[in-house]
Amino acid sequence: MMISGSWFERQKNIIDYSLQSLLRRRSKNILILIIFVLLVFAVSSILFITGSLTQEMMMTSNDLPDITVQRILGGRQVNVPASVIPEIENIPGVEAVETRVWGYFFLASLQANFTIYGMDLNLLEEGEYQKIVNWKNIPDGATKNPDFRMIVGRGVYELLSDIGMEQAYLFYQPTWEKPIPFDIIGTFKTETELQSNDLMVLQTEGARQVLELPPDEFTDLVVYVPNPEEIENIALKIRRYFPELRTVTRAQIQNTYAAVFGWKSAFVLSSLLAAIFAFLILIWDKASGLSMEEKREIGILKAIGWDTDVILSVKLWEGLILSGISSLAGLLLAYAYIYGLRAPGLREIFIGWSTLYPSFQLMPDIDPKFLLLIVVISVVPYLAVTVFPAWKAAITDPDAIIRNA
Amino acid sequence: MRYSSWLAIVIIAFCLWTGLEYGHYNNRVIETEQQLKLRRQFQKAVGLPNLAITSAARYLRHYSITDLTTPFQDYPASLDHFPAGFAFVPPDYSNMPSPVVFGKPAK
Repeated sequence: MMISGSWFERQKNIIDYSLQSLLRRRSKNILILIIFVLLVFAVSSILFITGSLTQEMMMTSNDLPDITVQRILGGRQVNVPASVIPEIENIPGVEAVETRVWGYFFLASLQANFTIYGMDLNLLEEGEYQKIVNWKNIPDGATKNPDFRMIVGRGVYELLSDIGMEQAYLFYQPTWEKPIPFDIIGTFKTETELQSNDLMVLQTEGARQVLELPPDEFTDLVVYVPNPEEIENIALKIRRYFPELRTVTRAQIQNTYAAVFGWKSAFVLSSLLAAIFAFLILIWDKASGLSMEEKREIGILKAIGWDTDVILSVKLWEGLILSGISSLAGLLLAYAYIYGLRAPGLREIFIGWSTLYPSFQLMPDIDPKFLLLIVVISVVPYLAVTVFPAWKAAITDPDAIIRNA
Repeated sequence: MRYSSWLAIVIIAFCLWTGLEYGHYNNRVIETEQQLKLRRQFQKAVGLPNLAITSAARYLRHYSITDLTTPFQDYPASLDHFPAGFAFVPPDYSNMPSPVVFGKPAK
C-alpha cells in the first residue's frame, strides 16, 4: 500500500502512518509538545519585547541633542556653571549652546518619582510643537502666574487626578517655607506616552525653584553642531578645555540604546541560557535512543519489507509535525502575549518598583533573522535527534533488533 | 477521516491564526508610523533620552546620560538594588575618542 501512487499520495500515506505512530505514544508526545511550545514561547517573548523596546527608543533617537555636556565632580554629576558657556560657544562649528534645567521630584506619599524638565512653555504653544499637547481650557484670569505653569505626562496626570490635584499641583519639600503651586495647563498626548509618561514640564523659572537650583547654574548643557562629522571633535575639545566636563554625543546614546537589551545584557542572556539548557535536556532525552518498543516497530517494518528511506520519511514527518507545529504555536502565542496582552508578568521586570509606567502598547518589531534563529535552534536539532537513531535501527539486521529488543 | 486530513485542517487553522496576527502587525506598524511625527516633535522639544518605562531610580530612567559611578558600581550588570536594574546594561562609552593614545595608532 505504501509504495504505490504518486509522490503526493505516497507522502500522504506516510503522514497517516506518522500521525498514528505519534498518537500511539500520546502521553509522551503531548509532554514534548507542551515543553516545546513553552520554550519557543519564552525565548520569542523575550526577544520580541527587547526588540520592540530597542526599536521604540531608536525611532526618535535622531532628534536627540548632538552633544550633552555634564559636569562631574567627585564622580558625581553636579550643576554646570554659566561661566563655561561662552568658551563652548566660541568653538568653531558650534551652532548653539542651550542650557537645561531638569531633575527629579520624589513624591514620598505616592512613592512616585517624577522627571521635572524646565523649558519655556510658550515654545510649545507655537507651530508644530502645539500638536504634542492636549491643551486644557483655561478659565479667564488663570494665567496669573506664568512662571508656575506645567504640562504633565499621562501617567502623572492620572496619579494627580487620584489625589484631586488635576487642576493644580502643590510642590512641597519639608525644608521649604511654603508649597509652590503649579497650574496644569495641558497633558502630553497618549502617542508620546512611552517618553512623556513620568514627565512634568515646568516653566524654567518655576522648575529652578522646585529643583532648588542656584542662579547661573544649570543641570546640563546641550550643544548643537550642524555638521555631524564635527561632533566627536567638538566633544573632545570641550573635554580638553574643561576636564571636569563629560560629553555624551548622540552616537553614544544610540550605542547605549542598541546595546541595552543586546546579547550582553544579563536579562536576555540568563533567560536564553535557561531556555537553551532546558532544550538541551529535552533533546538529550530524545537522543539517548529509541525505546525498545520503537526499535521493535522499526525491525518489524523492515522485516515485512519496508525500505529504509520510507522508515526515515516516517520519522522525519513525525519530527517535522511535532516540532513545526509547536514552534509555530510558540511564536504565535508569544506575539499575542507581548502585543495583544501587553506582556503581563514580563513587563514587571522592566517596570520594577516604578509607580509611574506606560501602558506597554509596543510597536511590533519582528526580525526575520530571529524567526530563522528559532527554526534553527528548535526544529533542526529535534529533527536530527529523531531521524538519526531511527536510521541506526533501520540499517541494523531486523532479526537482531526483534530478538534483542 | 484520514489522519492526514486532520493535519491539513490543523495547518489551515494555523495559517488563519498567522494571518490574523500578521494583520494586527500591519495595523500596528501603520499606527506607529502615524505616531512617529508627534513623538519626534516631542523628542525635539524635550531632549531627554530613554523611555519612561522605569522611573524607579534616576540611573534607570535616563541611563544613557547617567552618572558613571552611581549604577552598577561593583561590576557591569551586577545585581542591583532595583529589580529593573537587572534588565539594563550599563552604558558603553568604549568608542569614546581618547585624548591619550597608547602604542601605535590603528590604521
